[in-house]
Amino acid sequence: MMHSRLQIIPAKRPSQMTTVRLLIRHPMETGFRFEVNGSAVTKNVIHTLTAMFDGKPVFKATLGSGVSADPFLEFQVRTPQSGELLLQWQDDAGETGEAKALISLPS
Amino acid sequence: MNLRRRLLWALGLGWSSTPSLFAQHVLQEPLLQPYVGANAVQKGRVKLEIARLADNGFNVPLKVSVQSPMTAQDHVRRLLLLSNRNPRPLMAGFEFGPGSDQVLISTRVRLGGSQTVYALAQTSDGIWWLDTAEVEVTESACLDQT
Repeated sequence: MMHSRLQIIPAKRPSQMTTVRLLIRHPMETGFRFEVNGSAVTKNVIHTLTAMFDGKPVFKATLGSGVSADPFLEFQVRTPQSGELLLQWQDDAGETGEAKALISLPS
Repeated sequence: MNLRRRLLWALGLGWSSTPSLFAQHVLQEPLLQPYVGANAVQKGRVKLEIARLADNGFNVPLKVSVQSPMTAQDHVRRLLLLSNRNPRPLMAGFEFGPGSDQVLISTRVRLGGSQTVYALAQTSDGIWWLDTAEVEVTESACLDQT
């Protein structure tokens, strides 16, 4: 389980967008670095990240070695009603992580 | 007289219907070819905000927004961030559900030297929209010769 921080700025009205900010602790190893003994450090980046709202996919990010270590991502999601936002991601080493938040709109 | 006038009229018509004069500015960049294929690339609609000078290439914050009504007929399908100097040009790609999001993304990227950063967005009609930004990088994210 990867360490992550999720910040949600919920929409004030159903027509508005919910802002999602996610920070994951991950080295995002490019595969271009070398150890002191000359051996290459294997590439290990978070390659896919998906966001689901109430079980429906709303956003997908494909990241690569061009994204900095400890990736930060901010995006907008339309939340017409209250529900659960689930973020899941996977890295090259097969490790997965997830973060979820309950979004409650003022009614 | 009549023939001359007719000839001139025909010439004028031929001139005005030349497609290259009225086609919107279409970009041809070898870097973008593998991603956009045969689709048209146009400037506009995408806005890439990035600092002109980046002290540290390992961590360059940027913000991309795309102007779109985000309806089922007209929405942004995907957004790509490309670099023309990184060993892997594609830095990140984002996909959006139909009518689900307002496209406003911010993230942090690695840049291997001073270069041009490209933000490419494809709308549902297949057209790619482009915005570019020049960035001076003091310390490159690439420590080797690449």
